[in-house]
Amino acid sequence: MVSSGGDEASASDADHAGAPDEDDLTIPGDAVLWRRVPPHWYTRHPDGTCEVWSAAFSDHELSADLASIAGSPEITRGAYVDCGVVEIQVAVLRAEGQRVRRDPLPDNEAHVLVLGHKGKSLRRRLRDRARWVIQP
Amino acid sequence: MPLDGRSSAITSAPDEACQTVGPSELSNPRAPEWMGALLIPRLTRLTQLGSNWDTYGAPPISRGAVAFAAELVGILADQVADLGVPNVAPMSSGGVELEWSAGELYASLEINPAKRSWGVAYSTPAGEGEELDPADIQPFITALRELVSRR
Repeated sequence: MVSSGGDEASASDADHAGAPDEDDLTIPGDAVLWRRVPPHWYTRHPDGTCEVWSAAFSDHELSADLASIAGSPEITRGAYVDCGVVEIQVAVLRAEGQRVRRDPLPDNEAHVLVLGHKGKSLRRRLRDRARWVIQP
Repeated sequence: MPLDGRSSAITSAPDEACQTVGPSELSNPRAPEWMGALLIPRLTRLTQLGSNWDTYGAPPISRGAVAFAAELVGILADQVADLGVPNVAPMSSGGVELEWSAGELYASLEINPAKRSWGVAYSTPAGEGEELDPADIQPFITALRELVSRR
């Protein structure tokens, strides 16, 4: 979705990770990813809870942040104050055949891409496994 | 049921030529009231989203996709009694997703930004189905009818 930035550290990681479209196994399964969810992709219920839509997990190259690098979901949310932030574990994605690749950007070293086709049923499962860490 | 050859007052006009989507443009003159009252306003709002609306660099929503979505729902509403207004979601691709659900059952249309390209996905008690550019939408209609019957 977005082009890669890159620095010495990420280049080293890429060496360990193999080809760009392969799963980067230097990212452990218990690593957590954070992803922004804009207002067009959630429903706020009368009781105040919010429900994320499966459409938020449709991209073949899905952008997210590696939590261990971002440090705080507030960093992931950044200036997008009307967005929520959901988290999902890397192992959940891999169990669904997805690959995770580092894709550091000039202004976001934590950026990763979740690669792979995401059909409707998979999107719904990812939606069900995602958890709000910042509810909008 | 083949989709080709059905009437379509909403054409796949180039995006720049399709500025609005209104009830008068619906292909189905017997379209239910919710199409004009609820669906069309929701679809039209999507066309007002600017670039980067998803905060990850998404393009604006294709006006052609929005118009095609309205056209498809008009056809479905003619085939499925009490269809009801779907959930409407913009897609990072610039397309549109329409989804009906009842409990664990779902039926969704995904309209791609490319001209008149679309896909269906649905669940039934017997399993799930998914197809791009379906030549026959009868299985999808059957799934929708099952879903509506369980509301």
